[in-house]
This record gives sequence, C-alpha cells and structure tokens, in this order.
Amino acid sequence: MQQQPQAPVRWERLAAKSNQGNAAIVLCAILASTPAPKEEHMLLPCSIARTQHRPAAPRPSFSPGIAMAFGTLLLMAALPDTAWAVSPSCASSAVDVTSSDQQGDYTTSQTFVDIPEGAVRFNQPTTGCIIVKFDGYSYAPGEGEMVAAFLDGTEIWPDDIVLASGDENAANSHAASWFATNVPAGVHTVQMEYRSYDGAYVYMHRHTTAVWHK
Amino acid sequence: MGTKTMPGKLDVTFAVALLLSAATSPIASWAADGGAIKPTPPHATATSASCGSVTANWDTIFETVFLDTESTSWTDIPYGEGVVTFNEKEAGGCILVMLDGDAITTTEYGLMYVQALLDGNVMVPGAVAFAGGLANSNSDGPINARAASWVATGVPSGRHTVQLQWKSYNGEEVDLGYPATVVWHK
Repeated sequence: MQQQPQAPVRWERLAAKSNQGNAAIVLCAILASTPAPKEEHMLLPCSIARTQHRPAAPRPSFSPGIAMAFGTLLLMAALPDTAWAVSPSCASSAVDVTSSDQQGDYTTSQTFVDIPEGAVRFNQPTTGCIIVKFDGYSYAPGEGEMVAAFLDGTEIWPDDIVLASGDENAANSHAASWFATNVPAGVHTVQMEYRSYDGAYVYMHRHTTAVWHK
Repeated sequence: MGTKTMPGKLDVTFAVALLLSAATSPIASWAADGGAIKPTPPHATATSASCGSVTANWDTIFETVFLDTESTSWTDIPYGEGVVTFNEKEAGGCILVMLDGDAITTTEYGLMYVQALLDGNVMVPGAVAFAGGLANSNSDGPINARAASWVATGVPSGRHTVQLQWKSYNGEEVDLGYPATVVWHK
C-alpha cells in the first residue's frame, strides 16, 4: 500500500484554515504591525488559529501599522480565498543544535510527549524570531506520527506536523520546520514532542533539532 | 580533531534495519509488539552542541543529477554532489550539515543509509536510514524528498571537508536525486 501523505487531521486543519484564510492573513498583518504584549511572543503571527479560540489580548488603540493593515484588508478582499501562510523575514545570526543518536524510542500516546534528547536551549540576545528545523528517521505504520515544536512550553507555528505515516518495511528520514516571532531576549528552550494520531506505535530514531535565532 | 565519532554504534543501526527489513509478516503483528526494535538500544547519548555559528558562513553544493549505488559498504557520494570544503574562521566552533534530496529505493525492501564525515570522522548522529521499505517500489519510484542533519563540535580553524557517504543495506539499487548539501560553520 502506498504511503498516505497526510493524516486526516491534516486535511481537516487545512480545510479549516482555507475557510479562514483571508481573515487570518489580515489579522496576522494587523498583529504583526503592532507592538506585541510580552507574553504573546509565540503567538505573532505564528498561532493565529489559537488566538481565534482565546480572549483577544488588549491591543494598542492605534498604531501606524493599522493603516497598513487596512490597506492589506482591502487588497485581500479582492483576492480569492487561499491557503493560510505567513512569511515574515526572519534574520538570524546563530544556530544551536541538539543531535541524538538514540534509537528505538516509541510511543502510542495520542497526546504529545517529549522526544528524548530533542530539546535545544538557546540564548536570544535581542527580541526576534526563531526558526526550528527537525529531522529524524522514524517509523509510523499507522495513520500518522505527529511532531510539534514547543517554545517554553507553548506550541509554535504551524503546530503539529504529520512527520510520517503509512510506513511499511523500514524507517525513513523526515524533516519539518517551525518558527516563532517576537521571541524576547533571554534564555529559552525548544522541546520537540511527538504523538500517535491513531494510537498505533510510532517510532523515533536518530534525530537532530536546530534552532536559528538572533 | 574535536569531531565526534561513534565507535560501535553502526551495529545498532543495522540491528534496527535488520529487524525492520525482516518484518515480512503483517506490520500490525510486530508493531503491536513494540518490542521489535525497542528492547536492545544500548545506552544512548545525545550530543548537544551550542553552535553560535554565523549563518552567513555557509557553503553548499546543489546538483541536478540522479545517482545510484548498490554498494553495501560505505561509498563516497561522488565529488560534486557529496563534498563540501569550507574554511572555519574560528577555532572551537561547531558545524551543522544538512542533506536533502529525492530518494528512490528500487525494491520493497531496499534501504538507503547515509552518513556525513568531517575530515574522515563520522559526525553525530551517525548513520541515518534515509529511505526505504516502500511497497511497489521500482527504479521509477516512488520518489520522496528526504532530509537529514549531522553536527560536529570543537572544530579547529582552517580548511575542512565534509564528505557524504551512502550505502545500500541489502545490495539493491538505491537512487539519490537532486542532492543539496549545506554546511553552516564559523
């Protein structure tokens, strides 16, 4: 049987995002153009989906960015609904890495658990964005091995990724990326976590986590 | 050298591969067991490196070719595709190597391994099962983009060479297309 490229949850999420796409992009533009409250560093613009389910944080009554955002709104209103994407510029000057030669770790948990030796602790000298890249060879015979990056305990954009599914006779190497903006200065930790979409065994072997930051 | 080597760890990789490749019975029967690849991992140690590399310093090679091998022993991915030479400007830094490319294993139980060497030393985390084990595989595919990374710490200043190597676990043809190798360094 051929690999299934995506588990159902992914399609549901994409469908939901598509329906909310333009509104999300506009909201993203507004949020990104206004000063962010300190505690929102991992929400802008990386976690719009979650902000839709949370009480809105207080925003400044006006900022120059608002005018730009309204311009974006007018522009987006003229465009067809599209998939949801954000693409802030993310200049970085350093990369911290954890690479693990551990093999055979597995879980059947349908809630996220830590990937052993999958944490990166880094010092952010100034507020800015980070990019997380994870790769590892894994084995997932079921519907999906979901992987996510957590910054100081909070899941970052684009949330959980179907790293592997439908594997048959061997493990395969996979990779995925995440990012967060407005990460404040200081020491932070990115912890990679994984879970099984359907409760089937999912395995994680040798893996590497890299965080590009300021 | 300051690079990390992994004596004896390749045996573990092949044990995993063997168990996976030998799993000819329905997956559910041994996957449900869970013990198939879990019980014998030796003491595993993470190699954690705080690189602090200036990402402006990177070297790379991209090639629009498809390569193949049937070798069951480690073989250099040919020059031009699998070699990056760079100049480390500061001593004691770490480097990060990323490889990605299109992979084909031409049989159902084909399995491609890759590893990275820094000046001849195996980089952490060692050999990686890059691709394999897909039903209906043949020389035309399926083709999947794959990626893997390696690190080395305490790299002295000066000229260094990263060499990518690959092998076929069971001697069946494995293919690598459009490989891209990037090395981040000081």
